[in-house]
Amino acid sequence: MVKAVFFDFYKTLSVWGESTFKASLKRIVDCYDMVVNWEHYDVYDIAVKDLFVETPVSNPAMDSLLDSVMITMNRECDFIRKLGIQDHVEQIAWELLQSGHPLFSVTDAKLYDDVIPTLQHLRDADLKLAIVSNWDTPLFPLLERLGIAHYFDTITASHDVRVRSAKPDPHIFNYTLAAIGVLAEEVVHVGDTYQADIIGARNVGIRPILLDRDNTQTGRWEETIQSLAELPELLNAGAL
Amino acid sequence: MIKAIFFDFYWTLGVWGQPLEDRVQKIADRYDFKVDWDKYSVAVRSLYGDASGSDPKTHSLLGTMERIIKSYGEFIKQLGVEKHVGQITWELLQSEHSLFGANNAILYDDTIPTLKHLKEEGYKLAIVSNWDTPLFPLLERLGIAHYFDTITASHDERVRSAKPDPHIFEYTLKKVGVTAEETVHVGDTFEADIIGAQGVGIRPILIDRVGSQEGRWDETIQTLSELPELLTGSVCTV
Repeated sequence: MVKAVFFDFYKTLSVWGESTFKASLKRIVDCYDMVVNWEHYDVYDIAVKDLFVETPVSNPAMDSLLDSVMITMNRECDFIRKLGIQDHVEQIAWELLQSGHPLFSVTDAKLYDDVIPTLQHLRDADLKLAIVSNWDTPLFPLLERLGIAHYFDTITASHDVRVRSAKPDPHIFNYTLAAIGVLAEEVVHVGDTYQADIIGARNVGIRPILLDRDNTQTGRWEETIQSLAELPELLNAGAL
Repeated sequence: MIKAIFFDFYWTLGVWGQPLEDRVQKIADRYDFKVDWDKYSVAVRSLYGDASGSDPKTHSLLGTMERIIKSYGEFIKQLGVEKHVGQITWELLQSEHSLFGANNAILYDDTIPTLKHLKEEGYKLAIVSNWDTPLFPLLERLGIAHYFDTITASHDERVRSAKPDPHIFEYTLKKVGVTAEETVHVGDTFEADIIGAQGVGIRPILIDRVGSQEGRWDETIQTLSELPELLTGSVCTV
């Protein structure tokens, strides 16, 4: 019998909103009366690539959150300088981080429409709920801002110093099982990433459900849903 | 004729919603630690906290960030926390400090109705605040950024002047494009707001929400809703 449902967070419950990185950057640069030659693609593209693509993969076992804050801030300053901006660099970098970085303050995350009705429904059915997410900050402040923190018995983030393990590693799942007090056989895990969510959950004996919102993973896993709204029915069926 | 209204921010338009003690307790519950409240009153003094007391001329965001991180870390340790100090510090900063995205600020009930009314009446509006970060991100989160023609924070690198210094007022007058005689400034702090505005020839209005500054200044209001009437000079007949 299913007693608990684990959820991945990004692209399962939530996604960044429409205002893109570039749009935020343009708004801020305008505010500062700065001129950036956006048509000069080399400059912007190379700077962005350095900022995002070349970011060293962070290590949940090692990273210190407060060090990350300063490292992130310094990287953002380098990025702004590469765009040819020389004045107010720290301040512009900070404003850009404020517009959408979870280490500072995500104002731009939004929930999918099916999230709150599904969480409410599962909660009413007395299921325990948890988040199991590969995320580089504790997730509670963000979930609280989104108004869904209270639905969860446990919120587990990979880079939390109490966890320090990222999916598909078994520890992050085992940690969450212990925190809630349920067995693997009593749990389903819902997520959108095959390796992390499906293989990861299966390896510890949790029943995985693949969420394929934009229909790009057809045939990849037997228990696949396209919307969270399908979940309650699937779970009732499993319990019969 | 009055064309523009300047507002102080903290204690005038908004305030932190939950006391620090409550937020510390909430985090303690999540991390299963016991706060040593006997040590709290001493620990709280080590908080760097509001950098608006620091010199805006030399202030740098990166430097301030480092100092704030350090002083909040010390604060957490002084409360008797031994494990996960860095992460707990970050969680507190998320709820506490506008440098890190405080989600704890709230507006007074009279703020939005008054701003809306004054905007509709055609007044230009501005913020003139002693604040250690640019205020736009916070005001946007609070949903009031769009009411203001200019948002001036003392520690903004483009400003670098804190009330009662004249420059922060003159900077804002210039941005809005009005003269001192066409402007009123509303704030709660006598030295910064009243003396400061008066010093550059702006008409100051003291807001005394809790009734603790009686008799201190002639033009005093207790809520922002009194403001429209004061500006037109016409008595509202209900």
